[in-house]
Amino acid sequence: MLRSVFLKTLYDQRKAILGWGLGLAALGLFTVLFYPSVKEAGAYYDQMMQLIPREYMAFLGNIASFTQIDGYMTASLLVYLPLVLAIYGIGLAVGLVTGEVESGTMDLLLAHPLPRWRVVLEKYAAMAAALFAICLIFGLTLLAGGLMIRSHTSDVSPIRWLLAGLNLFPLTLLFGSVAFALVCAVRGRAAAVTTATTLAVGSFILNGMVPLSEKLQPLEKWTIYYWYTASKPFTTGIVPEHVLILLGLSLLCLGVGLVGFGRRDVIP
Amino acid sequence: MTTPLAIETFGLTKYYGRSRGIIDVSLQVEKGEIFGFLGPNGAGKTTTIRLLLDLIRPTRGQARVLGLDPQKDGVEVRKRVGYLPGELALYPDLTGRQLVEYAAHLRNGVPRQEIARLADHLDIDLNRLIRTLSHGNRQKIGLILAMMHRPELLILDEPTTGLDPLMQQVLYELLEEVRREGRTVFFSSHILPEVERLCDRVGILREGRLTAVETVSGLKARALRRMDLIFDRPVDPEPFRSIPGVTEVTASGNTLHVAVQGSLDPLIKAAAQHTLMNIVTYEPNLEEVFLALYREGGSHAA
Repeated sequence: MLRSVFLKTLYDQRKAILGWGLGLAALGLFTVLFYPSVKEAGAYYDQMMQLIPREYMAFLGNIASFTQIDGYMTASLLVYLPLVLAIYGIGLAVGLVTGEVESGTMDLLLAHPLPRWRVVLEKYAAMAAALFAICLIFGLTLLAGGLMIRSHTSDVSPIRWLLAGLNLFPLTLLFGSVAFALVCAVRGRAAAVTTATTLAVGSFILNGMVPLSEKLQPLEKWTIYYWYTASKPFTTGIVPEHVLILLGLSLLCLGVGLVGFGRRDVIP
Repeated sequence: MTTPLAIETFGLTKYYGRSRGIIDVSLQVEKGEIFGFLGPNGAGKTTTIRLLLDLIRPTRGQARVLGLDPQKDGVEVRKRVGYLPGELALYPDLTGRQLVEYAAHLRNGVPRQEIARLADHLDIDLNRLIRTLSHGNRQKIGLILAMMHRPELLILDEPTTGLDPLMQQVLYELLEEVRREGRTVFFSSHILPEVERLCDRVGILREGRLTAVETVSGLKARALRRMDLIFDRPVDPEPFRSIPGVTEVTASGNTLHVAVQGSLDPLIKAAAQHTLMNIVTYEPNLEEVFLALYREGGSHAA
């Protein structure tokens, strides 16, 4: 298992991947299995939604209906899940670089005949793989849940459950990548944690608030979070361009990380 | 064509922001020698070593390791160099064997028998989790990581830290074996007896500057030698004070206690004017030499 920096990093993360994967999976399954009762209660929930202030709805994904599977899954889970998983992604990015530099093990690693870019690349790939694995565990669990309640969601193709889970990946990867770029380029962890967290929370809030104000409308497509929420896995599907934008920005962060780490002094 | 040196630096300088790391260090380490790198804490020994491994980049100046530029040819340098960091940090959740095998993979393979031989010499159980190991045992794993690929150049930052006297001896033997094989050792140390035992030459760093590079025997020759000259009767100490190299003279009874630096010849000739009964010399104390060198640099700086 310990044959490369990539595999070693994944080996180190095995418990975290399983923990986060199963944690999100439990949350997902719990949510999915409640859908039939929400759907049956139908009108009650939609009436209740009328009473919820628009400002509050902004943070529930501005859904049209709570009794449709898309609105239900978005408001009860999917809209905020990238923020939750970003906690892991940002923490992982910081640990992989600053953690190793500060503990001194980066010295040991860089004393081996590996170019620095390869260390950065393998660590980044491991971060991406870890996030993807968590999203996959989550997506497969949604799929299992979806199959269990199939009679209530006959119009939803099973693959859409899986896609709903995997759709978390590009956005959380971007938040992790921003942190990764900064820990590679700048000493310490404060800049990375502050920037990536602010970006995650800020883009979530901004995206939620766009429908509330005409002034904010022009910003809609630039809130970052939009590239996640505009994909509707249960109805219109994933927007491939948005996925590509998120992945492209993530790769840009990787580029910053490669250049930044290549130039800096490694000082514990 | 001349064989490239193991290490060569030209005006190597490193500032961390505005604080001094090392200044204008120009150093040559020959292949096949054991070179001791000495200096008080904070003198810049670790900074120099980290520059050689391209962990940090120089503000000015250049370094060559095995004839290569550590910045441009870092991979090749690190392939041929073994490094033991001063503040060794290992992955605590791996066993010694897992870590050693991981490192071997990063080196594209290392002969297993060499790992086994080093583990046996250093008497370390590689099956234990690193977090459960004492400081000394972790140091042994660090030494295996530095030596297992039989590098042409070993760069060791205070390698005997934490080792018990028995293991220190084992390490000395390993390093002497490295030298016998024509490989090079560059190590920093605080422990003078080990420097005296192992090193062909030493470099002394003080406040970031290289203040002396000399053979250990040359340093000893420079050392303040203390001796007692015993005559058949009391002798006037005054004429001895003006002899070149003599720094101290005190008389007690028939004996003159003198301290002399450099050549003994003028002193012995002067003593021979009297009836000399006996001469007692004391081994020059290397520690005094180093302390003097550490201070000398300081007086220049001040």
